[in-house]
Amino acid sequence: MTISGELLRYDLRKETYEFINWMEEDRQRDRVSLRRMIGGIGFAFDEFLSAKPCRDPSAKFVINTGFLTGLPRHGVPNGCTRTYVTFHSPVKEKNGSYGIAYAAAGGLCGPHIKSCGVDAVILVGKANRPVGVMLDASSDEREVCLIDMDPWVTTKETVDMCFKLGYRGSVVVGPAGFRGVRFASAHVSYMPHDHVRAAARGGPGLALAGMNVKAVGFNGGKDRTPSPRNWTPEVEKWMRSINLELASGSGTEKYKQHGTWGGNWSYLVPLKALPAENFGNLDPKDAYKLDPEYLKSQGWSVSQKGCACPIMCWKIPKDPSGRSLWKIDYENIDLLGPNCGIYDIYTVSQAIEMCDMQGIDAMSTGGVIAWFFEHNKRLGKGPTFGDGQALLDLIQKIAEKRDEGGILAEGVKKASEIMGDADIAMHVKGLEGAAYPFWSNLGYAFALRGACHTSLGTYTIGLANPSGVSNPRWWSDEIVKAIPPSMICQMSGACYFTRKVIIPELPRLVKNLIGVEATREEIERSAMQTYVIARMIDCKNGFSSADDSLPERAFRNTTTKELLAETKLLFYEKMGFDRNGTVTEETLQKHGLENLSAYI
Amino acid sequence: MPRAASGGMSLRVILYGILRSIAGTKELRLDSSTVSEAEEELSRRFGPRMREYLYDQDAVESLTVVLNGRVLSKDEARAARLQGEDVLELLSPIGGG
Repeated sequence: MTISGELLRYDLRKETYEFINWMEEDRQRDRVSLRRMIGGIGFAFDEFLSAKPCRDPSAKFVINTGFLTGLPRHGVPNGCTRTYVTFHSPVKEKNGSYGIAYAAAGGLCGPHIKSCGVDAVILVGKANRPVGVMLDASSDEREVCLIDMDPWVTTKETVDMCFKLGYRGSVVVGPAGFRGVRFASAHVSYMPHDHVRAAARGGPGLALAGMNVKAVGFNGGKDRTPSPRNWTPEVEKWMRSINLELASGSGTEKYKQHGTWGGNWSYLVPLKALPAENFGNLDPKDAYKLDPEYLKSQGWSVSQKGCACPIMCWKIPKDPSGRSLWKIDYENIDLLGPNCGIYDIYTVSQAIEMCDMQGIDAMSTGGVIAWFFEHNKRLGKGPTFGDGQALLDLIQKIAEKRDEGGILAEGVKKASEIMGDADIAMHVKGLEGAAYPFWSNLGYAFALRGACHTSLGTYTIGLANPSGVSNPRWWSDEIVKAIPPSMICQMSGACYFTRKVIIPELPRLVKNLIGVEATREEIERSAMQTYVIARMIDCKNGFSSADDSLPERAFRNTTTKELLAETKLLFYEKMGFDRNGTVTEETLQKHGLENLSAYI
Repeated sequence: MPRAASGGMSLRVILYGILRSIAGTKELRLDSSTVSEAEEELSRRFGPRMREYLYDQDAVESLTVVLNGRVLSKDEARAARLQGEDVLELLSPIGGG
């Protein structure tokens, strides 16, 4: 099967480790489940079940893969390389306790984790100095060693150093995590000297740096990658057809041609739904200046040549003189661009690069700086929207927690509590918003991570369904429907952008790769279970109905507080939560999770 | 039911994103009297790839139809009668960023 059934558990305080057969442990504890085998957060959330609230987001950190994570030569579909990190989120705080969160990235670390013969690494405790936790599986005996690391070097330098030492897969933290930036990101390796991939959202970089871990490296030189359970000529042929569809079919074509940047620009701009000026303006007149089609008409090229991924969701702009800028995807360019009032491609590209190098979430950075610009505008002082140099200066100050950057590094929720103007702090559960209008997405209130578009994919449906957006029953139905596909992409190892190809094939993939018969309904049930477990962990940490909210600015057009309140109750009813949004014994029974009742 | 202005001219259709790439043009004129007829005509002219996007049933990526500046629900799009000088905009959203 394409999971090894093993994990590495490393205790950083004791500097001891063990390889654990988690599948056998699950059998012994009578907790075998499809969701754990599918993997990703379906596996990882169980590791965070606890009878007590979490007071330290650095107490435990899980890095893992899904059953599809790998390379085509390992018998899995192309483009499924996801690495997941799961942790108690530093930004999702409630009265000193921390809710659960995860982040994911493509790149090539995931296949390297698999090649070490493990599905997951669980880190606990805190090292007494900044270290790299290096798993070497290049000989008959697997070994793990700690190496001293310089916490102040950039993410890219850290990944490159891991490569030099033979660890081709790595998850790393930038200097900002060690300085205590709340929304510090983790970064995942791809190829030597290439762009790192960000597993950015919710502060995994701070959680990992809090353990004094600068990097986790994987050297699977003696490839221990597990093979599919059933690999017949018929299965091989079918897998080729999936890969052909991923490489050239309509399910992924939009991403290849336009990327998320051009794809969203050509959708949100005509609909007057492109967030600008801290989500206060959805129809910015200068948006065209950052439209890749406009740039092309001015002699630019926008492409992603040389990338092995069949999806190619991000693009690299090259100016008419041949100068290449940093890689761009939609969320980053909008949130650091128009949302901060900036329409100069060079400035925005530099801002994204700085975030990536320092190891801070570019989306949260854009969110908090946009808020700061509006806060200043209200006060009648600078810097404010449109000040490109201030944007770059503030990124550096945030990364260094210097001057006003020290407060902004706490994230928009805390910064606005300290400085005022919380009504324009665009976040849900502490997580700064993705680059879609808040008013058209009630799903944000119920998304696991907070204002994250991929943890509950309802971010465009409100724009496209004017007859539904004022109807709480429509919203609650759509939100419930959106949970399984959103969760499956955070479990299986499949990129969200492959979902139209992969999700219909899941029963057959589960059967042939893991060797388990499962219907689509059973797979969706495992996805629902994953959502419910996360909710249960959040309830344990004090989150309730009051936190299923939207920022003040979201309440415009058809979206009212009454609509949200009615949607909440309907959603809770459908999910089996009580009226306060709490997971109860009945909820667990409804979702087949009775064996977890000790953790309520 | 949305009504369009009357007139003798053909319907103006504006395409965005991948639809524009497939058609190789931003804009064209059609004589269709319903959205469905317009979609069929576009499919006929530009082939199966165009058809796949126009009829995409994905919750996130299904077609968004805008008539004379107003987004139509699926029911409204089915019921709409199109007439000359109407502007029909067709957008195919992308699933995330």
